[in-house]
Amino acid sequence: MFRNKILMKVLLALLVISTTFVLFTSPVAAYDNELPCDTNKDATLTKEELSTAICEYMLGNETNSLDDVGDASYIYSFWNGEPLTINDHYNDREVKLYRPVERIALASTPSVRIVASLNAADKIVGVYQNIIDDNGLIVTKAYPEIRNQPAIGGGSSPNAEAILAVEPDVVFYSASSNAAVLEGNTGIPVVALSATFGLEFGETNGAYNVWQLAGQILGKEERAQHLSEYSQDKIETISDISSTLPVENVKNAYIATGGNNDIIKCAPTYYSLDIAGGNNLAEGLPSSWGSATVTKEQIVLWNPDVIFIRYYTIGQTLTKDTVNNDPALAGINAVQNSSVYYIRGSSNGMDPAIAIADANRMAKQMYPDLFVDLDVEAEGNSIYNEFYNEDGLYTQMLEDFGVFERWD
Amino acid sequence: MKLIINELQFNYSSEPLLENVNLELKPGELVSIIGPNGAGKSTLIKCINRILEPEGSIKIGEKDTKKMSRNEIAKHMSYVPQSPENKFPTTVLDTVLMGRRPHSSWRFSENDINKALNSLELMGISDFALKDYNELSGGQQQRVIIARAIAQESNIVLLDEPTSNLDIKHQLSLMELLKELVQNKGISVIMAIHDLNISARYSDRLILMEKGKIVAAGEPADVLTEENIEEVYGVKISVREENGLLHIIPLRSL
Amino acid sequence: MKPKSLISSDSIKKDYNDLIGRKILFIIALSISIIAIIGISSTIGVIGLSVKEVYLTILNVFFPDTFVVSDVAARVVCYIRLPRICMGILAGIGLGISGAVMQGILRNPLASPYTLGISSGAGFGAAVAIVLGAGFAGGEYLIIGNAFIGALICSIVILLLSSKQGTTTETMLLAGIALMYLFSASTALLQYFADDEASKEVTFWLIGSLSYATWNQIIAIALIIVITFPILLWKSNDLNLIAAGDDTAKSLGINVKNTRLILMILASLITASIVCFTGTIGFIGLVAPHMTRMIIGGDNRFVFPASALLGGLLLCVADIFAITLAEPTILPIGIMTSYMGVPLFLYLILRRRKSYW
Repeated sequence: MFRNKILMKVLLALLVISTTFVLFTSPVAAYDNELPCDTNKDATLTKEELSTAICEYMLGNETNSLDDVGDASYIYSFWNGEPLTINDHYNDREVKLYRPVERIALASTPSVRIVASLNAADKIVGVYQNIIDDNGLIVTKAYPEIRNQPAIGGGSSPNAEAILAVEPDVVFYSASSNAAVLEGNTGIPVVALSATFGLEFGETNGAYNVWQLAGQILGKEERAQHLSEYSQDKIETISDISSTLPVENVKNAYIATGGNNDIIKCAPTYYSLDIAGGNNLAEGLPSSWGSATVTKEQIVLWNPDVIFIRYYTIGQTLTKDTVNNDPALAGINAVQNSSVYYIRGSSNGMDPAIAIADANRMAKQMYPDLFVDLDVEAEGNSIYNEFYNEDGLYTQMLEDFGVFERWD
Repeated sequence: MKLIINELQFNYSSEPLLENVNLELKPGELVSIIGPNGAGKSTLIKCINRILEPEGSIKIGEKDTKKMSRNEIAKHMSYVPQSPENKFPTTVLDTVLMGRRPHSSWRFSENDINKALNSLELMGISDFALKDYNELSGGQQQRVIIARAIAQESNIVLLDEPTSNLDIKHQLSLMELLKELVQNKGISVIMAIHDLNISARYSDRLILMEKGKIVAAGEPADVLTEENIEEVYGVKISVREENGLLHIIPLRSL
Repeated sequence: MKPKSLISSDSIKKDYNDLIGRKILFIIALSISIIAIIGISSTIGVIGLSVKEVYLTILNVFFPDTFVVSDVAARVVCYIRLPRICMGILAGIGLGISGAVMQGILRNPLASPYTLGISSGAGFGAAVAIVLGAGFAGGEYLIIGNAFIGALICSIVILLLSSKQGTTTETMLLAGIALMYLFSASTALLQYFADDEASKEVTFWLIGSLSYATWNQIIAIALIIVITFPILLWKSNDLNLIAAGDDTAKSLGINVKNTRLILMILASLITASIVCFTGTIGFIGLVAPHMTRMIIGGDNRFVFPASALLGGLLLCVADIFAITLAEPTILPIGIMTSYMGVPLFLYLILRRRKSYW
């Protein structure tokens, strides 16, 4: 009995200690985000504060580093001396940046395309594991060095500590509620960027918005503007022609999700097809992860003129032969007229470069007479080059996959 | 303390399981409830203990049990269920200590443990005290539960078929023990029982039930008549008296 | 009649006290292990902080400005490692105890926050918030609030069922399993029609994660556990009697219905408060109570605290593996606990000599 009483006391003591541990550890002084050289800490950098800092630095005073002074000058001239405040793509969440961005951590796969196409690939200092692992990304073909950057986690949650280790000025993340918590834990601004694929570029949180937002953060507004104009121009070049088609000549198209999915998986929204002037038979169907499921009976009933199979993994199981040899589909127009084609399609979020290049390919395949002069491969190379700064990427892609139609 | 049951009625899905049951139990009395399957013996036992909520009144002394808390009732009445189970691994001593629950709180005192040990010894199962209850035989388990009822120190003990899991030796020793408790400690016992011979041998009074009603009550010799048994059980018996003991010999089913 | 026992009362009493002593000792050992695990776990991470640096940082929290601590160390230890560890331990504690409570009140070894549908209810609530943007609370509490309400709705349905006359514990468990399927199906349906970002987020939420722990959440869970635990412990002895059957418990003075109701409400509250922050972490609530009972027997007065601590310990150890195995990728904690827990659990079940349930 006596021994048990002692044991109980030990237990109680342990209990009290551990409870206080939790309750005491918590109120740690929070990290205040501050502007460099902001002497009076009012989150506004005045001319006086800046000039004092510069003078002090030149006089050999060590309070501020060269970095601080440089950043302060940037903030004073480009951000009006105030923290940059933006609204990101997760419910317009507000994010404040206190330093010009020189180091970027990418905590989602699609963000690598955005950063690279804004000509800021050299600022990437840490990447999501998926970016390293995915062999299908065009962007890392142009910038292979990105895949040598340290990983900052993969799967459902980026590793906060690994993010801190690469000391980024900003983290680009997917449009997730966890962006706020990640920012709270790391103390580093976390920006949620949308990457919805199949969306029209001009829609809310579509490609144009994403470029604009990321451009603002990276100080690449002009490049973002240029990309938008370039894309618009490329899109209009095709749609100006395809939109002149009389309604009865518009081809009915079926877009198979492809990959290792069955033919009955299709894409109800497909921007490339809209640009190319095809009628998406599956339009309006409810979809999950960009893909809807129909029956073969429905495909027969629709009787598509063309079938496009997305071919985004080398050696995927859904091929033209699967469709052409399917007795259930033998009677449909697309099979009868040998109009089953491959398109590249994006994976891991939408790649705008692929989307535009695919639009060219689809236009030429549906309406060869209208697009006699269109050189899909040359156009593809030029588009990929515009986005990722490397020539011959499209040709390289065609050769790597070896399945896409080449017109010469 | 006297137990007075008045106009007891219990319905289940509007089927009456007990109807107009009146019963009095004096201190130091051993009463057996007999009757065929489905007569309502177990239901009556559970109603007396308010495990089921019947209509009518049950008084312990002057007090209606309806106005008493469960804990208060538990101080006056203990209950030995028919097939005692335990889902968790529990030592025999812990099981018996459960009987001290109405008298103690979260922790069991030295006194509680002593009382539990005494009742274990009384039942002759001290050797099993720290064994796992679930590893005992059915008969041993039955004795543990009776030890728990003893440890509960109530003046009324309700038992539901206490002998059904026991061999003949243990049946007899249990009944002798109950008799002893009744005689020496002034405890009163009500039990539902199937064995007519045993009930006749040890009970002060018998209550014969059929379809939720008491059809006969009184001294064993008055209740266990050939006519009563024939009517209620539908069997032919012969009742003999030898050395002052009643013997029921079943002859055939009718 | 009375065969004099060969063993004296005094020696039984001594053995019995030793038995209790062993149980308390087990609980103390668990507590010390947890403290040790905090110590070990806080030194593990991709940023190579020295052990000394980490401990000075922790000490500096209790005695501010006494030690020289780097900004990075302070940030990493206080905002990344400790929240994660504390959340892991508290979630494990909460799931361990609510599993023990639920198994006790339903007298069934299969009961757990997961099998009773409470986790799925939370998942469905979260999915509604993520996919439809609809919820009971706004802003940062949208998902958390919905998950919490979802979990509670599920427990309320089970409670309503249990208060119906003649409902057996088996019926309650079956109802829970049915609800689990209903909520899982509804979540899948929402996900099916969600856009891919939302769908992805629901998937990630369902997998469960400790990565998004914040101090406010930890304090909330700690408060709920600190408030409910004494009540649970106080009712634990009554639950021991309920294990012997409802009739027996009633005859021994227990108000079975109320006890069951109170315990179920508290266990649901703990579970809801945890899963709404961490997502689904399924296995702990099922195995921690079982392992505990295999080791120290079924007395709930000891099973409750021991199962809680064991849950905390298991989850914390699993988390160490989750963050180190594929560094810097963090493996989902729910998956890690199953990979670690299932083999351990199967081993214990197969090698045990006697039935413990």
